[in-house]
Amino acid sequence: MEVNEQKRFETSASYLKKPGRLTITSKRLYWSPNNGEKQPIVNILHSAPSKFFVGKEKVAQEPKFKISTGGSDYTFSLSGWDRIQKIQEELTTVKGRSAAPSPVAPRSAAASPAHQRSSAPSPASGSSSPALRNGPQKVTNKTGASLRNSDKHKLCMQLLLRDKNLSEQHRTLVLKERCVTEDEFWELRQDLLRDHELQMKQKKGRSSVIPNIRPITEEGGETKINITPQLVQEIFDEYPRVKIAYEQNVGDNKPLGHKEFWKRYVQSRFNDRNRTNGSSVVNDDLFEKCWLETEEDINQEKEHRDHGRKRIKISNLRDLSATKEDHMEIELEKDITMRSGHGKILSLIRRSNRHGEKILEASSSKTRISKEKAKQNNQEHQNEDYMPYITIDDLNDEKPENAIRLEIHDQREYFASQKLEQGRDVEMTDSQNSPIDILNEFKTDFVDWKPNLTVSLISDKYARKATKKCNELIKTKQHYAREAIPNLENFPSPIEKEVHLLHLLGNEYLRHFWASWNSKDKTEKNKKMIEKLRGALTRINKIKKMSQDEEALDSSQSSQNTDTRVNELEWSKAITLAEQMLKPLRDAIEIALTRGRSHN
Amino acid sequence: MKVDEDANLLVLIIDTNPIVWRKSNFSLKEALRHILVFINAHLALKHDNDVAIIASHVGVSKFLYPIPMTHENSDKTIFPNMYQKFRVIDEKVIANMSALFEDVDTPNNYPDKASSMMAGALSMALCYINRITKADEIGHVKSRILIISVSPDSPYQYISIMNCIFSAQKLCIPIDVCKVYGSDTPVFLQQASHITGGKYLKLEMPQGLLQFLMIAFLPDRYNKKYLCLPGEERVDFGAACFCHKKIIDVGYVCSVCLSIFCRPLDECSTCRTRLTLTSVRQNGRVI
Repeated sequence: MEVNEQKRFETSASYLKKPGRLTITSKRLYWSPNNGEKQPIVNILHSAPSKFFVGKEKVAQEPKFKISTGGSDYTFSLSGWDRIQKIQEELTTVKGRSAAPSPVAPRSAAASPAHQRSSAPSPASGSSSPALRNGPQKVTNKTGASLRNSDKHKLCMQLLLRDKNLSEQHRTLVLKERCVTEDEFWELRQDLLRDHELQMKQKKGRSSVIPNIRPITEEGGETKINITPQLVQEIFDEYPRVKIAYEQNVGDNKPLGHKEFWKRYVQSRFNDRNRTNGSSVVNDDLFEKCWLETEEDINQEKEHRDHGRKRIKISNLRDLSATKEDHMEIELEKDITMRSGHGKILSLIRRSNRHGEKILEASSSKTRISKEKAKQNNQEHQNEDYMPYITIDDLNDEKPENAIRLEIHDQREYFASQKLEQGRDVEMTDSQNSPIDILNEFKTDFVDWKPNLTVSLISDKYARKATKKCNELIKTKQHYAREAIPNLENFPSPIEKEVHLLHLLGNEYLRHFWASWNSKDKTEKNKKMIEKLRGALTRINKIKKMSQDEEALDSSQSSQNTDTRVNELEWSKAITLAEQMLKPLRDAIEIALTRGRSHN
Repeated sequence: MKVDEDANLLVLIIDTNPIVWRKSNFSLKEALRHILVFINAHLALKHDNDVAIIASHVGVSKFLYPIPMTHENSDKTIFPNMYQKFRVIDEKVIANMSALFEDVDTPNNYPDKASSMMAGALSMALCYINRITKADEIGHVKSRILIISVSPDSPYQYISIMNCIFSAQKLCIPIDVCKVYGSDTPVFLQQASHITGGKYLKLEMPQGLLQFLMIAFLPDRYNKKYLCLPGEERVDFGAACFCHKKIIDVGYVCSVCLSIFCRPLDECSTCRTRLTLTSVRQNGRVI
């Protein structure tokens, strides 16, 4: 123990199945077995970079944690989960204090958005995000604490930037009107935060746009071409020959400069292959060579992939029952777009196919694995497996079938047309008649029944009533369909703003009210919400009294208002309409208030 | 396609639960007279029009017309004063209805006497329509279903009824519902008419049944487009949970097979996928 070292925490723990004592000091963490050895077997300095892993409480059977430093891992088993919490806390505090900038141990998943933010989704407008992501991230187990505050704050900011409606709400509720605090606002919107976080965590693959240089026509007739480093990288990925040409010709002792190279590239036919305007095309030797070489590369690639004609695998087994027909070559001639070696004109389809294939292979792990396997197969001379060809199924013993038993305990319920409940019959029977009586009665009634359809069936009175009823139904339907839709064209803007604001406020208060309704630790908040709801209700009631002149006086844009003044009749109509609009909100608030009152 | 060439097939499903009819103050016999006149009216509209009638009884559903001819007794007398088709159908319906009520034991032994076998009747109707449509080579037959219902829907038949409704929707067969007596709930028939483009009408006065039928349900599919017919527009989209068959408004839905449950389960009983609730709040805490 050094002079300045202080013991912070000590507990019994076992390492490698030996009981011992784990101690955390201000400078290091060490473990010594119980059999009395003075020297600690495990000694980890806090200043050394180390990572800390905890088993999940529900999944692991016993409380364990693991520290890995410099390539070696140490796993300790403890007596209780609360110990682990303490150890975590100690480690975080100590590491936070230590001067050496070691990566802080419990890395929650919130750290990953920081990586991804730099390459936030950008629309494919020519500039694309860089190719493969920075390699697979090591996800440590969540240490039980939720998102750390700073990361949460970042998430909130991002979310507000992306979603206009949300930022509008946030501005109105939290900043302008000060109805709810920032924390309360986000408390109810945790799903949004969670979704956003998950979205940010998603890895973006390689961009699928074929690198294409697009000129931007500026005013004045000049065309400007932006060549970003990302674009350069993509062109190099797609056409390695261009990269080689670049390396050969651009540099310190080399003839071309960076700008000149790209100028020539743009002007060369290599770039303009797919465009038909021949006027601005200059024959450029450098890129002609590139083009030819690229073609050759592609053709060779195809052959390699099909294993050419040199690598056909010849089986050692002979099929004695083969006839002449088995040896006839039946080949389909390759499509005009897929024939190789046709010179300079690499058709657009082939180019797109090739590009698409490249991208899929880059992102899919399956093809990688199969490619590796294919390589392996070609390298080793694998002996062919003869067994399937010579075993006869009938001679083998029958294997028991691997049938999986479907547990259908619920299926009867699924298809059940009735569940036998004894009580239900009682409802349906009259006090006088039992069902069997009724059935018998019907039976006797219907024997020899010959209805007379020639006499009048329906009396005048009922017929009229029926027609009237039908007409009423039709009338209400038409009314709703046509006339009840209010005309909102000339709705005055101050009223509209007030209604909108009241809706926003009222809904937010109601959400907070109901969220804190039944929980024990939020009664304070609940009461506060009741007060606020009352305030909102009075404000709704005040809308009746809004008059045009007041609004003109209050608002600072009086000049504007004089233009948009409406006559009194329209104003009062709008007020009634506004009251109708607010009616559901008012009903909801009243329900909430009555429930709140009865609860207390 | 000209309207003149359309042949309309009306499939009528009559709910004949005797216990519920007894409760209403309108007798089944009287109702049947109205219905027979309505059927005759439908047949009279066009020469090609056809009808099929199914009785939805307690625990069983049966075709009343058409039934393959048995050589028992077919009345060979021809009444010169009556349109032959009317007479044939009326007689058959009456005869088969009596035969239906003859059998007392089957309904008596059926435990749930409060509702009728609507799911069975709907399935039979759809199968019949399918057969007729397939047999009709020219493609002129336009079919629709009209349900005359008195008894409430059984929640135990929810899944079957919904399946029938979706099949009808797929085949573009409108289902009209005329509720003569009884409360609206459960609301499966309302949903049926809503989804398939039919009309749902609840009668306050069963005595005016014929008038209502003539106004609201007589026009065929082509003419409906040009008429404004009475019907209820508001639909209550309740559902029955798959585990206990009780009617719920708010429930849990499996994201794979869309089966509805009233409480969260670890494993869906229909498609056996393991379900985890990620963003459900109970008592303010996230599960």
